[in-house]
Amino acid sequence: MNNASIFDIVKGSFADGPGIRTTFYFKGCNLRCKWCHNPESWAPQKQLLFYRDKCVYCGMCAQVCTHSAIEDRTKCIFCGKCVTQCVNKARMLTGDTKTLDELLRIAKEDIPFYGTDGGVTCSGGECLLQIDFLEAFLKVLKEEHIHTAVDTACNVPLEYMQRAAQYTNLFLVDIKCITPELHREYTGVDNTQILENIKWLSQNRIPLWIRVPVIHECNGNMQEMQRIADFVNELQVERVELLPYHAFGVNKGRALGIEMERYSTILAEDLSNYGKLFERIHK
Amino acid sequence: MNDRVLHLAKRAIMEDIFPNSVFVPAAGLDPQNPMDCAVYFRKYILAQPIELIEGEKLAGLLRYANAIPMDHSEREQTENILVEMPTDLYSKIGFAHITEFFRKHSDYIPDSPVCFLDWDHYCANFPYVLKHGLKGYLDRIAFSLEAHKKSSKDVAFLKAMEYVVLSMKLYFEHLADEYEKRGRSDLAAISRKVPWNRPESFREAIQAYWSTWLFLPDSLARMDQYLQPFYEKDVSIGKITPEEAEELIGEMYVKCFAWRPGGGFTEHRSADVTFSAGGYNEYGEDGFNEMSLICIKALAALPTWRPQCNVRVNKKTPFEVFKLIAKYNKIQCNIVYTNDDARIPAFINMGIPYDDAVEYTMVGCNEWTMVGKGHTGSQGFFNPMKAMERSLEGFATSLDAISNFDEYYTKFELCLKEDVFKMMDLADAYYDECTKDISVVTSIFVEDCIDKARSLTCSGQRYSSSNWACTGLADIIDSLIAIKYFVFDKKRFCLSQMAQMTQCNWKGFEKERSEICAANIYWGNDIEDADAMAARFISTLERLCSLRVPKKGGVFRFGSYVGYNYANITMGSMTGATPNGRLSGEYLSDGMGAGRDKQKNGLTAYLKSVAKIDNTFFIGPTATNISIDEKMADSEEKLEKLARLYQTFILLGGLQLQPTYLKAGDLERAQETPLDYQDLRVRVTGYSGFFTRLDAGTQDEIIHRYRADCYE
Repeated sequence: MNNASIFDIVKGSFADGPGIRTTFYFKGCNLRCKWCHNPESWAPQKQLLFYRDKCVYCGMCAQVCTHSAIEDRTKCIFCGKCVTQCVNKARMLTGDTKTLDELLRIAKEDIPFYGTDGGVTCSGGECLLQIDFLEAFLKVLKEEHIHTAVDTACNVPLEYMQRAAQYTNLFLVDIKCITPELHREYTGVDNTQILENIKWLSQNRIPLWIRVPVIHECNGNMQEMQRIADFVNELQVERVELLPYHAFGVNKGRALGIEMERYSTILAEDLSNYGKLFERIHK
Repeated sequence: MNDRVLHLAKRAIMEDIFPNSVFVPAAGLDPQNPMDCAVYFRKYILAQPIELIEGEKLAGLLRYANAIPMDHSEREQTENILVEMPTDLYSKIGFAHITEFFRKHSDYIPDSPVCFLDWDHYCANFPYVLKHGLKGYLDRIAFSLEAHKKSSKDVAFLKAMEYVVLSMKLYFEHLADEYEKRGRSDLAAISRKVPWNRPESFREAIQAYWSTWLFLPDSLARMDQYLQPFYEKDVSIGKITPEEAEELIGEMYVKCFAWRPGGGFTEHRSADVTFSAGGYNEYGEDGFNEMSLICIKALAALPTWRPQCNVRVNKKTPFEVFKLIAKYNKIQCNIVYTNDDARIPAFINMGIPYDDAVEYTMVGCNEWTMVGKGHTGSQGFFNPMKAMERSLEGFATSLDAISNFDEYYTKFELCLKEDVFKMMDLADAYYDECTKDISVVTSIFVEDCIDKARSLTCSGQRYSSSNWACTGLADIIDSLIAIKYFVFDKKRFCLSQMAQMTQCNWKGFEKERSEICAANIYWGNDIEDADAMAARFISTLERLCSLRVPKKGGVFRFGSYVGYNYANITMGSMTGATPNGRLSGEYLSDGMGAGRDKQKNGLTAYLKSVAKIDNTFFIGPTATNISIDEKMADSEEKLEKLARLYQTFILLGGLQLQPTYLKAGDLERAQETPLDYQDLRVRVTGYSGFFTRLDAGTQDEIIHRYRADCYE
C-alpha cells in the first residue's frame, strides 16, 4: 500500500486530461492489447529492455553481470549494472518503486503550472490494479486541491472504480471494442465488466472522457465504430477522443522480447468519418 | 495585410527596393574634426539617389555606404568609418586600427578562447522626436552651447551636431522637392512637415518614426506605445482604420527589411532590427494595446524575416495576450516573450531609475537598451570553461590533496577571476580605442550627448554598461555538479582521475563518461542541488564583476546567448573535454538552458530551473530556446496550454523565452534535400534563420537540440 510500481513519470503533459498535467504511469496491466504502445507497462515488476540495434557487442555488460543474465534474460535480477556499463544505451531498466510521499512531492513540484484545470493523471498500465496505493494517492492529491484524473481501461471490479471515484475529478476511459469476440481477440479479456463500469461512471455523473484507440484491423471499420458510438452516445460524457494507431510499441516490445503486431496506418479521412458518429467528439 | 505591401515584401526579398548608395569621396576630411564629419554627412545624404516606389506611403530612402549591419564599424562606436574613406586617410588617423582591434579580438579571428568582442547597438529617442520634432534638438543644442561656451572643443562638437540636424532638414526638403517633381504631392507635403516638426496624426507619426530610424537604423523600440496615442485619436475621428494602420506598419517593416543590403552570411537572419511590444507603461500597468496587436499581426502577415519582436510581458499581462503571442509565435518564430518583472528590477539594480528602466526595449538579437538613453547591448562573449581546464591542471598529488568541493571551488574561482579580469581588460582596451572616434550623428539621438557636449564614443550617453554573454553556461554548471557529485559526494573518482579523463578526451573512459552523462543530477531538471550550483556560479560571477567598473561607465554584467556569430561553436572548438561528459571540441551549450542531453525531467522542470536564476545580476543578453513539436500547438486547446506554460514561466521569474515549432523529421530532411526546405525557419539563438542557410555545425546543433530536447 505504501509503494507503487511506476514505469514513467511525465511532467508538463498536454495529452492526458485538461490543462498541464503530471502523468504517473503505473506498471502492471491485465489487458494485452495487441497494438499497445507501452508493452513495458504489462508486467508489474521491473524489466530490462534490450535494444539489439544499438548493441555494438563490446561485451561490457557480460563482464559486470554476476548472474549470467546477458545470455539468459530469465536470470536477470534487475540490478542495473549492465545498464550503466552500456555506452550505447542499448540496455534500459523499466519500473521503479515509489512511495506515496515521493509521488506527492513530484506532483506538487508542478503546481505553478497546473492553473485551474491542470493537475495529476494516474495512467498505466492499469493504475486501478494498485487500488490501495492509488486511493491513498488520490486522497492526498485532493487534500492538496490538485485536480485528479484516472486513465483506465476499467477492467477491474466495480469496487475499485468506486473507491477511486471518491477522489477523482475526471475519468479517462478507453473503449476498444463493443463486440465481445473482437475484444477478447485483440485484448485478451472479456469486456462485460469494462462496459458495466463505464455505465456506472456515467450513471453517477462522474466527469468522463472516452478515448477510442482506432486500429484498422480491429475496430477501424464503420460497423464496429458504429457500435462503439451507439454505446458512447447513450452515456453522459464530456468528450470523446479518437486516437489513431501508432507503432511506438513495436520496438519496445522487441526490446522486451515480445513480438508486437504492426497494424495499418489510419487515414485521416477515415478518422474524420468515424468522428462523425460520435455526438461529443473532440476535434 | 493588403496586396500592395505583400507585393512590396516580395520585391524586398528580391532586393528590388532600395537604390545602391552613391559613393561620395571623403578626400581631405579629418574624421576627428566634428565639423568636417558634419559637412561630409550633409554632402553624403544629399548625394544619395531617391527612387519612387510605386504606391508607397512612407517617404524616404537612405542607406549609409558601407553601413551594412555586420560591419562592426557601423554598429560600434566608430561612426566615422562607416563612410567610404580613402584607405590612406583611414589608416593615417588610426580608425583602421579600431577595426583591426575589433577584428583581432572578435570571432573573425579569435585569438583567445577566453573572451572576444561582439557588436553593439543603439536606439534613437523616438518619443522625443514624436513630441518635439527634429527641430527640438536645435533648442537643446543652443542651450548646451550656452552652457559649454568656454570650451572650444565642446562648442566645436555642438556646432557640428547643429549642422547635422539642419542637414537632416535639408534632406527632407530635398526629398519633398523630388516627390513634388514626380507627382507625389502627398509624400512631398508630409516630408516637409515631419520629422522636422512634431507629428499631429498617426500618418505623420509613423512617417516621423520611419524617417528617424533612417538616421539610426537599429531598434524600432516601443513603437506600439509611442504610436498608440496618435492611433487612438485618429480612429476616434474616423481618420484611419485598423487595416490602414496595419498597412503602414507593414510598409515600415518591409522597408526596414529592404534597407539591409543582400549578401553576407547574416543576410537571412532576423535580428538586425528588433522592437518590443507591450510591457509596463509609465503608470505601472500592462501596456499591451491595440497598436501592439497591429504591430504583431503585421509581422506575422509578412513573408519577410526582419524585424523581430520581443513582447514584453509581466504579471499584469492578461492571459489572453499570452495566448495571442503563442498563436502568432507559431506562425512567425520572430515573436517571443521577455519578462518585465525580471528585467526592470535588474535595471534599477544597475542604478537606472524606474522611469527610464520601464522604457527599455529589446535590440539586436536579445540585447536591451534604454530607448534613446544609452546603449548596453552585448560587449562580447566569455568562456568560463577555460578556467575550469586550468583548475584541473597540476600533479595528481596536489589535485587529490583537495579534500572537499568548497576547497576545489575556491581554486576554480581563482582561475575564473583571472579570466574575468582578462575580459574586463579587453573591454577597457576597446573603449580606449573607441574614444579616438567621434560621433556627430548618432549622438544626437541618444540622451545626454547634447547636454554633456560629449560624443557617445566617449560615454556621452546617459547609461553605459559592459554586458557579456557567458557561453557554455550549462556546461560550466553541469561540470561543477559532476565534480561535486562524482568526486566529492559519491567518491566515484578522485579529482586527478576526473582531470585525467577530461585531458585524454574520455578515451579509454567511455563507460565512465556514459555514467556521468546518464546521471539525473544536472541543471535544467528542477533539482535543488543543481539549481543551487547554478546560483552559486552566478553569484561568483556577480562578485567578480563587482570588483571593477568598466572604463566606459556603468557596471559589468553577464547573460547567456549566442548572437550572429557562433561563439558557442568557436569557443567549443578551442575547449578540451569537460567534466560533464562533453567531448573536446564539441560546441558549448548556447543560451540560458539545460546542457546537451541533460534534460531528464521534462519541460516544466526545465523551465522551473531556468526561472530560478536570479536575473537581478544575470541580465546581460539572454535567450532561452525550447523546441516544441508542431503537434503540441495544433489546436486552440493546445495553444491555450502552451500559453499557460509560458505564462507560468514568466510568473516564476523566467527572463526570456523563444519557442520554435517543428515537425519531426523536417530538419533531417532539410539537410538531405535543402531545395525542398528553403523556407524552413528556425530559432537559432538570439535570432531566427533559414535552416538550410545556416552552417553545418549550427544545423547539427539544432537537430541535436530538437532530437534530444523537443517536447511532444
